Amino acid sequence: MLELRNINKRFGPETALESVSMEIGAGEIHGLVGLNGSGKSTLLNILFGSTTIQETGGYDGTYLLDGRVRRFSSPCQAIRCGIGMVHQEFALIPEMTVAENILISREKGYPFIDALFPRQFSLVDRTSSAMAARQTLHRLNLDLDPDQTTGRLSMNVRQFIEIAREISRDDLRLLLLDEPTAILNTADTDQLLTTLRSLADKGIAILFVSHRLQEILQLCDRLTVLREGRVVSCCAARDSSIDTVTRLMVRESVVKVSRTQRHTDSPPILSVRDFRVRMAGEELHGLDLDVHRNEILGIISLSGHGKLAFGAGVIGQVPFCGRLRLAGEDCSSSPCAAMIRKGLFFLSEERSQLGLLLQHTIMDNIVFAALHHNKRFHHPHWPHWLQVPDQKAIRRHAEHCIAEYDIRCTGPLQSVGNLSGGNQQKVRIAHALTLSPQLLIVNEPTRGIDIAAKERILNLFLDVNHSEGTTIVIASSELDELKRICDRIAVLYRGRLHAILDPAADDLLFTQAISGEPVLQ
Amino acid sequence: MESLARRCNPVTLLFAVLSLAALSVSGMRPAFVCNEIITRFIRDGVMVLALIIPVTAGMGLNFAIVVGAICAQVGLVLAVDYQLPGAESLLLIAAVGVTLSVILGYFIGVCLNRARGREMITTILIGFLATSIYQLVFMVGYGTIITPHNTEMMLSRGTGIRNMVDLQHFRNLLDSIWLVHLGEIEIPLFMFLVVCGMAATVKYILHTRLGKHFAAVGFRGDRVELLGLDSSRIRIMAIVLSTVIACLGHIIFIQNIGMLNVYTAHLNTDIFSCAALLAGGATVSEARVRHALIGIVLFHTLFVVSPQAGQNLFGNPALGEYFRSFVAYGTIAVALVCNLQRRGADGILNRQKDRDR
Amino acid sequence: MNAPRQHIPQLVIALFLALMMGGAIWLKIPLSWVINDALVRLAMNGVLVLSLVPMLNAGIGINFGLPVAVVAGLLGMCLTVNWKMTGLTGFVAAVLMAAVIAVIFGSVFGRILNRVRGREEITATFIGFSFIPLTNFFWATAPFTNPAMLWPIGGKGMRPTIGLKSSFAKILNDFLPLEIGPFVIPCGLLLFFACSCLLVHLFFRSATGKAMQAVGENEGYARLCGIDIDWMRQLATILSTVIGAVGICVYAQSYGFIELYDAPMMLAFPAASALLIGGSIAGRTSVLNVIIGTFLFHTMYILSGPLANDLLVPEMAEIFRLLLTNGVILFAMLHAGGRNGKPCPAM
Repeated sequence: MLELRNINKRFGPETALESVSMEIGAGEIHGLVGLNGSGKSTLLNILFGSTTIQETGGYDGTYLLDGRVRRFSSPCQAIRCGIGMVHQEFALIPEMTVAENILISREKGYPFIDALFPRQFSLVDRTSSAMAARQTLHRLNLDLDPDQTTGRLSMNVRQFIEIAREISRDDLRLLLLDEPTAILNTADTDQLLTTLRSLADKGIAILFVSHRLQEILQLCDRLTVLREGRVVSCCAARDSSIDTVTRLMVRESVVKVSRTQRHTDSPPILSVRDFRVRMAGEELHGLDLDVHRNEILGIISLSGHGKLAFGAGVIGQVPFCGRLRLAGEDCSSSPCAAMIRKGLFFLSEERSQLGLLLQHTIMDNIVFAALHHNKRFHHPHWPHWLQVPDQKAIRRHAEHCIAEYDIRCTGPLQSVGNLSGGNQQKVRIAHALTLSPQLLIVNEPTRGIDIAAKERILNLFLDVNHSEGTTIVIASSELDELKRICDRIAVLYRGRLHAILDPAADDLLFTQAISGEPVLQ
Repeated sequence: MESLARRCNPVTLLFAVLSLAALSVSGMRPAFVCNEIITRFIRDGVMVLALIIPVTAGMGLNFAIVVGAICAQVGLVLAVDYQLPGAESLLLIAAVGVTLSVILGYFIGVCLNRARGREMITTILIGFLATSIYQLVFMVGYGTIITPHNTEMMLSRGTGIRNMVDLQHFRNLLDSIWLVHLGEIEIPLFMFLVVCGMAATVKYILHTRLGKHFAAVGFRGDRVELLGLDSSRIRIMAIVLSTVIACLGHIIFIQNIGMLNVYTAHLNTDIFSCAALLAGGATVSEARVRHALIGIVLFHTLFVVSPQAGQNLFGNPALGEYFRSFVAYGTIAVALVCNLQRRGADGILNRQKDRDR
Repeated sequence: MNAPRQHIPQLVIALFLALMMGGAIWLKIPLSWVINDALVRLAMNGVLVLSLVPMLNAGIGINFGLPVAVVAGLLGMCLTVNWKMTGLTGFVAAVLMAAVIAVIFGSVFGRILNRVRGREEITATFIGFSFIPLTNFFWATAPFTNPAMLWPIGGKGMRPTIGLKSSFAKILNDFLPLEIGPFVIPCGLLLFFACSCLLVHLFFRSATGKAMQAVGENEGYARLCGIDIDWMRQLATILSTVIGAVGICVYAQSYGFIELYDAPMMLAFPAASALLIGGSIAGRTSVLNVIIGTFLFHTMYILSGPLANDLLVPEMAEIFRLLLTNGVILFAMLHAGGRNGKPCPAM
């Protein structure tokens, strides 16, 4: 029923999907697995006609639905063709009732008024809407008052409402499920899987994306494994085991651990206890972690399990609860500025949104924070309180940085917006190091960067750590990079510390730890 | 008790207290005040109702209802120009006004879709711009490019329409139907029912499929596309409906007054309507028909009595006048500050999410 | 980036100006009069336009709450007139007092605007609008004693227009006038305007100014760099208010009258329009935009009067000015805001 042929998708210089082909038949449940960044969400976005795909330049390849070529430019069109999607971060409207959410755009009307007025202008029949909603919820074995507001319900109930919205459609042909079981407990998961099975028996095709391999193997007829935007395997679920699939998901690579030095016994520079950060989509629910002086600590987790929230919480971008000690001092409620003065700096994963002043020059960007937090670049002849910048010193420093960090540009006065991603990242690191911080927290330092710049940046971290003794924490989803430069790697799962592993450990062990399976050390 | 306190909006309460205080200070006869309020309820009621739909659709206060008023005035001027008799002219006015407001409403909607997040300031500017264009057409265009049929309404120099056009054909044409006397109080029952009918229509629209979609777009404008709703189209619909209702409201307003102040009648309709709606307890993100009806009564009570109260209190009627305009502008300012403050934390989160996307 | 699109208003205005100039020459309107007037109006309105820059660069948007600043300036001037200070002392005293009052107003105004993130423009508009009737109350009851300012009959309440002839009218205009043939260049006035521009320019070169610009360009980034965003925004509002207050002093001395009551209500719109015509981009508005914009806008303002008088209906000039003022701002709104109009970050 659904057929994809050679789908290619690029985001700027980065390739997200490379000649992906797959087929799903009517009544088939097809599993889609892959690590973060393997292109699963991009594929779902293409299937559902998400507008971000159009805005970033569309995709190449053929998308056939029932033998007809489709190219959706908005989800509306996809929905009209019978595609439904269950979103990971719910497309529910919390202010509206359960019935309204389930039946949105398919509200039941009174037949008499429907005949009298155009469809859009006919009154919604609340009782029959509630009835229809209740029936759908019954199919999911959920007894719930359809007239209550959705926002007050618990997360797993909302997940079921999200599913109910899709299965209540009569014209549903293809259902896309993005991690529907991530927040469900075992009983609820079983309930969901049964429902999906019965849906498939009615001839609806289902594409099921999950990180839980067990479910996939249990539920699906066939499964496709994505790795780095490519289909590495497409096989029947019966013939696979968790072990084989995991091996397919992880790239077979020989990683040389380049670090031999160990600092784990030095005193902690930063320690957090019961650290909770409410960052949208990346929550931490009580993390206990020590960062030792002079080490490079890696943090890895699936997206949504909290690795990005660590730095944001520590610096104060997002408020946190719990205890935080920096260099032995308790600073549980310090604003950003105070943390920076104490020698901490944070580079967010949002390179262009939160990382740079794109319209300003390289020079301005490099010295921006330093200009504010120390007197290094203040003009010596003017009183300090006037904060007159010493342009010559700034320029000298910028030129030094450009040479030192190998920033490819036309000069310190070039606008940062015109640089490539890798060079922008180097400017950010130069910016951070201009402050000479004791502790640097970096989120996703190599995301969206070409291979040469990646190497350069990783080496830069090693150099700085070695020569200046800067402690570095790197939160990243690139396991092999972390393994190359880190002294220890912390694995987070569901917002908590799951394990601290040695970088030399086996890839398989890492993969298991990341997906939450118990790890024995 | 607690629920009552929660339901009672502090703004509404303040208005009620102020109106009562001003009423007692002014020493005006309650029957007179009552008559005035009924007249104004009929005059301005529909205009206030026009604001409800855009608020529900998350676009804030629609100051561009001025454009609806302009459409009505265009219809009126044409009716006077062609010198049609009462009832026929009313039909012509309505037809011209509604057609024009559908077209202009569509364009306003397109503009607002381009200016997401700052709709209110954009509607204000659209209102100003429309006023300028309207004045240009009728002050300069009439008599130069457009040939008038009725020379009586032209200025003596031959170009431009007079400031005041007398609408004797249909002065109080509708108001006089079913006029009921209750002691000293006169109630034009038919018009009263028309306003209530309009209120019912707005309430009906809010409960139709389209109304539900308005609400969905208003709550989560960024998510509804995932649900298969075309948010741009729905927002345009909201503005078109609002403009049409405003146009009808302005026709009622002018036939009640019986004179057309060609260049100034539509000015400030937006401010007063918005202030009235907010006085009734609506906010920038939530408005119900109830708020509009309560708001008109409260706001106009204060409006009617404040000059006299100012005279009695300070011996200066101008002070009452200043107080009046302060109330109109101040209500909107306060509503903007308070309402956004309450949603502040949520708003920042949403903006953060917008950036993430 | 779509550079040509950014410049549409400027191109249209420049074209229009050229057309009008042609018309003026055809109608034999003396060129010297046009240029003299244009220079005076440039400096006279320039400071008011300049006052929008700090807030625009701090990401608060166009300050439609300019009436707040103007009222501060009016208060300062009224106090000096009341105390019968005249000449240069009077003007300097007026400016200083206006600035002090503006600091107070601005800090309150800034605090309010910090509460309404994301919709500062509409809130500022209505704070400005509602501030006017509030001050009308004050003007009508203020305990000023100089009879030149009060109603001649009754002696209570301020007059709507107060002549400055006996205090400091034209004090800058008549300072160092340079006459070259038929042209009179008001050096004093221009010098004052140039100094204000220079000060603002230098401010944005300092560390604080850069931080303010960073807040405007990327609030999240500025926060991560440890900048106190609320304070920066408040500072920008205070600066805008102070410059606006000084601006109305300059305007009033050049005009020769203080206009009270409803006069300041709509002042923000022509100023905003002038700035936008100057090609201002939110967050990166420079002093140059102010000068170009004010010059274009006000030259057109001057020319439209006699042209409309001679060619068409006299009211046409006023309607036309309003049309242009609001049209330019609306155009800028539709291009700067919203999902469809957002300038993409350059890759």
